[in-house]
Amino acid sequence: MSDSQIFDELKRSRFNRRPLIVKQIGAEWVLYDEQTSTAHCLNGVAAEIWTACEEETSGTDIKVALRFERPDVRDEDILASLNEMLKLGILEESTSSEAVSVSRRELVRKLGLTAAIALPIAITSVLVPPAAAAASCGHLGALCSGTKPCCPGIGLGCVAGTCVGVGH
Amino acid sequence: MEKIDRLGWAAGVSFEAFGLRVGIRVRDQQVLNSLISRIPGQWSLRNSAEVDRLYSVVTPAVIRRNVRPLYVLYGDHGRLSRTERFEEMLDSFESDLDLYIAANSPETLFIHAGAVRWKEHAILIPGRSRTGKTSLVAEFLHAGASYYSDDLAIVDRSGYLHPYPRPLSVRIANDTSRRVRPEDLGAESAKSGRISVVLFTEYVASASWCPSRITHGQGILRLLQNVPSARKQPALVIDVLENAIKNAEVQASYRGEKESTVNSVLNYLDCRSVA
Repeated sequence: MSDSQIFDELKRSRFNRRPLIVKQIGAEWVLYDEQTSTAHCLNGVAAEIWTACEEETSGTDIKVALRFERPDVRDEDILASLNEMLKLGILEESTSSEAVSVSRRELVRKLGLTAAIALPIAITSVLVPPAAAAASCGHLGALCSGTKPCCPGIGLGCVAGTCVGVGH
Repeated sequence: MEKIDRLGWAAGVSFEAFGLRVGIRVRDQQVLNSLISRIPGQWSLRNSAEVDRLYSVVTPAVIRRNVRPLYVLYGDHGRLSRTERFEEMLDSFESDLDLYIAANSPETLFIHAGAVRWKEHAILIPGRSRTGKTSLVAEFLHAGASYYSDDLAIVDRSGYLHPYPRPLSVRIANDTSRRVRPEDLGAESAKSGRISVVLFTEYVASASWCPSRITHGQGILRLLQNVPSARKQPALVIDVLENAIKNAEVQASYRGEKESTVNSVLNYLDCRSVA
């Protein structure tokens, strides 16, 4: 894949940040998506890319925004990061359908493989569990209910309000 | 709910705890007293019958010979437990009330975590069930630490950790558990304070405690998975968590035996104090 292919792709693509809960914690940013109950932690570079995507921002606009603070970030890093952010649902793509190149997916797939090793961008994501799953679970013989499930993964089931062994 | 309403109630109470209004109604005053003894923390009686959650306990009107009594606990309109053992019904009430408060309190953040205090250091040990939290907490108490909580740690909006004095739920044979009061382990209640260190850990037989520091952003992500109210009020929860750990070190490691882990942590904290 050539540099010009990547540049063309950045120029064509348009991105918007999704409306998420945002909190800056030192050099990192924590994002929370209420629709998917997913939390993400972006390192400094990732956060700068994400925040640059204000309204119909193109990949080249992002490159310009990062030019002075992050001269080391390459075009392929930006493209791979944008793709990762799209997959995680923290960005939306607003590129017109005619402008999306046929080879885009293949290009990004290759980038993902090569850039993953050296990428200065880091994003961690977790699914935040519902209330009952974030609290204690029932052990063998304990009472259980819709609000207090039996502990998963050890062959227990809630039968008539009590956690009993259901075997594997 | 109407069916439950028609049962005929002899006594009841309405109280406020952690910013939530809760009601209990029973058919026997003695049962009410036992339930009241399980209400956590500081709570106050209310005059109004309007509540956010209502518990109803149905007990037999007459105890007959050769007939086992049955205790049925309802939370609003849903049945929570139906048991012949009174203590079991009380445990079920306590467990549901804890979760209800933890998931809905507008003023206090609950974290699924054990917490102890060693000298001036408040130690938070978040984690899912069966990760060895309670055994670690018990070992810290054996070593002389004071006690915040075994299962639910509470943090106010300014980020201060406070005691939530429930008995420890210690696992015994056959994977069942028994309640142990912290006093029985020689532990005192800890005084409120800022969190010094957060330990994300899990018991693995062959492992040893070899912690790496993780960033506060990563720490908040992991803590979010242990906060029952995280989905309900995410912005507030993230703010409070940031406040709570802003001066804390966040460490993560698998661990082996609890004795060596506790020794390592306490030595580290003592050295940190001297430095």
